[in-house]
Parts: sequence; C-alpha cells; structure tokens
Amino acid sequence: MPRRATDSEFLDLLEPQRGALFRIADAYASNREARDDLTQEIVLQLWRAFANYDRDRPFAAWMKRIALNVAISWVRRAYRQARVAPAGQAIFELAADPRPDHSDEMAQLRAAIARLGELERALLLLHLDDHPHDEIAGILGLSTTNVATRLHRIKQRLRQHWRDPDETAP
Amino acid sequence: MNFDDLKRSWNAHAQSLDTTLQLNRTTATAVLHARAATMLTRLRGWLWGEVAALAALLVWLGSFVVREWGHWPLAASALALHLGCVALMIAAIRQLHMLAGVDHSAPVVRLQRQLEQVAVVRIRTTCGAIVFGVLLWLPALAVALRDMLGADLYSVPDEGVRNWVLANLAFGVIVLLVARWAARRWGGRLDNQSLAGRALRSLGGQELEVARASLRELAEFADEDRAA
Repeated sequence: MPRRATDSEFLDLLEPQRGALFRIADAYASNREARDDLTQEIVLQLWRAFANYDRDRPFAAWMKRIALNVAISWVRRAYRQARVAPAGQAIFELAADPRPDHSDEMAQLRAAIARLGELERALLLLHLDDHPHDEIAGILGLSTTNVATRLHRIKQRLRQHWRDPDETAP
Repeated sequence: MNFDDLKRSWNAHAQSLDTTLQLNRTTATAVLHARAATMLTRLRGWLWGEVAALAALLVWLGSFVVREWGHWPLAASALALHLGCVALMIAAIRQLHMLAGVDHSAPVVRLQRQLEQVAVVRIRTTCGAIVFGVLLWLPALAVALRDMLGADLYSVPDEGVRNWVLANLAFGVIVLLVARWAARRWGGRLDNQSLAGRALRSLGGQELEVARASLRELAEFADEDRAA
C-alpha cells in the first residue's frame, strides 16, 4: 500500500536532482519557455507517481526514467497542458541567466544532442551523466550490449560530424 | 575536438548548474497542487464519457429493436446502429484497458511503445467513427423520427422525400471520399493540436503513419541486431 507523500519530502528529494532534471528539459525543449513548460510537466508527473515510489530504490534513476518518458512523449505527441505555474515564474531559476556557460564546446555538444533522435538523445544524456551501462539499460529498457553498441555508434557519428560537419549528419 | 573534451565540458556544466540553479519551492508547490489534467487524464475522462454515452445508446437501441421487431427496415436500421455502437464501445474499453497499464516509471522503450499502441487504436477508432457517422446517419434519422415523432421514414410514399434521403446519403459518401482525398493531400499541413485537425489527419492516414513510424523506430532501437 503506497504511503501518503508530503510536498516537502518530495521537494527535498528533488532538490539535489535539479541540475539533472534541468539538463533533460533543456535537451528536449527548443527554447526557454518550452523548457519551463516541460519542467513543469515532468515535476507534475513525478509528483503523481511519487506515491508509488519505492524508497529503497535510488531516486535519481527513478526520476530520470519518468523525466525522459515525459520529455519524449512531450516532443512526440505534444503531451502538453496549459501552464499552471504562476505567470513569469519557473520551477527552476538560474541565478546567472540565460545560460551558466557560453563555451564553444558546450554549444557544439548541445547542437550535437539536438540533432539526435529522442531515444538516442536519452541514451547520450544518461551516458554524459555518468550512469553505468547496466543502469542506462534499466532506465531505457534495452540490453546492456545494445547500450554499449549504440553509444559506440553515436560517438563514432559525432566524431565523424565534427571532422566533416557538411558531409555527415549524426 | 573529441568526445572526452566534450564530456569534461558537460561535467563542468553540470557542476556549474548545481551552484547557479535554484529550486523555487513556492512555484513547485503551486504546480504540485494545481488541478491540472494531463493529456492522458483528459483522454481517460473522454473515454469514460464515450462509454457512458454508448451504454445509454445501446439500451435505447436495444429496446427499439425489440419494439419494432415486426417492422424489419426499422429494426434492421436500429440493429446496424447497435452493432456500430458495440464496436465503438469495445474500442473505448480497449483503450481504457491499455491506459490502465501505462506507468510513467516504466522503462522508456516500453512506455513509449504502450503510448503509441494506444494512439494507433485511437486513430483507427476516430476513422471508424467518422465513416460510421457518414454511412449510418440515414438509419439513425429513421430510428430517431420513429422514436420521437412516430413517423416511419421507410414508408413515406412521397418520391420527393425518398430522393432527398438518397441524395443526402450520396452526398455524405461523396463528402467522405473528398475529405479523405483532401486530408491525404493536405493533411500534413494541418495543425495536429486541434480536434478537427487531428480528425482530418486521422482520416488522411498521416496520424497513423506517424504512430506506426514511432513504433518501428522503437522496435529498431530495442533490436540488438540492428544496433550492431
């Protein structure tokens, strides 16, 4: 029987994951407004699923599974609703807006991520966040071999693209 | 430029986010307590509404068939409508059953597949409902006239009325064919956010093609042999 969750318990668990959640929303949304909307969707869905969250399992992996599911659904089928957050306010606020960094490398990486399909994007995001292959496999529902093979191919394509950006598309 | 450099940039970006990003607890709490319905919640509500309306229609049509059993054109009309409603009811219950299995904490590939499978059934049902509505509007009119006014459309001797009915039926079929042709030709440009846009894109096959393409992509993604 799922126990009743409290707002503060949920937000306490969410707070350390704010960067990871923000990066997922940032990877699937095309602009700041869309990112805020997607963040809201993800947080709402996390909250609704939180009653069934098994406290013995790591929160980060559970959170990322739901966040990626919502983000992919959001991109694919416009899984959206009207904004419910107060006007002009976002769940996550950047102290140094608009981006905490402007490096060329990050811009290149962002562009590369944006060029990938939704599923490969999820795979790369989890890899960049240092999840081991078996954990990525569990989150995405793939075999560990498949994860390793696909990551290898994504890296290969990215390298090829950086060598010759006009000739290849990741 | 290599992948390791970028991974280092990503880690630096992640660390920078941890210091510059703040969780606005007031806004977050407002979102948690907002009475917002997600697309799936709305779909569930819509489907339950469909089931309730169809159940009422089935009872009404069933009693009509029993009452008019001796008068075969009217009984056959009501029976055709009854069968159509049964098919729509089965489709609605099937979608509700599929939605009951949707769990957002399930692995990504599995959940996305479930959602696309629901979409395929939904699109086919929409197409079926449009065709059903256009082809069975005449029996529906006959049954409604009989039940509300006691009039029997099939026994009207006036040729003019019969011709009007036949002309309307033919017009309905032509509208259906033209709408399907136009939706196939221009459906790609239609907005898939509005109900009308989605209905026309369903009729034109674009919605089904998108859902099938997603299912293919998911199957390929999960297929180890294709990854290699």
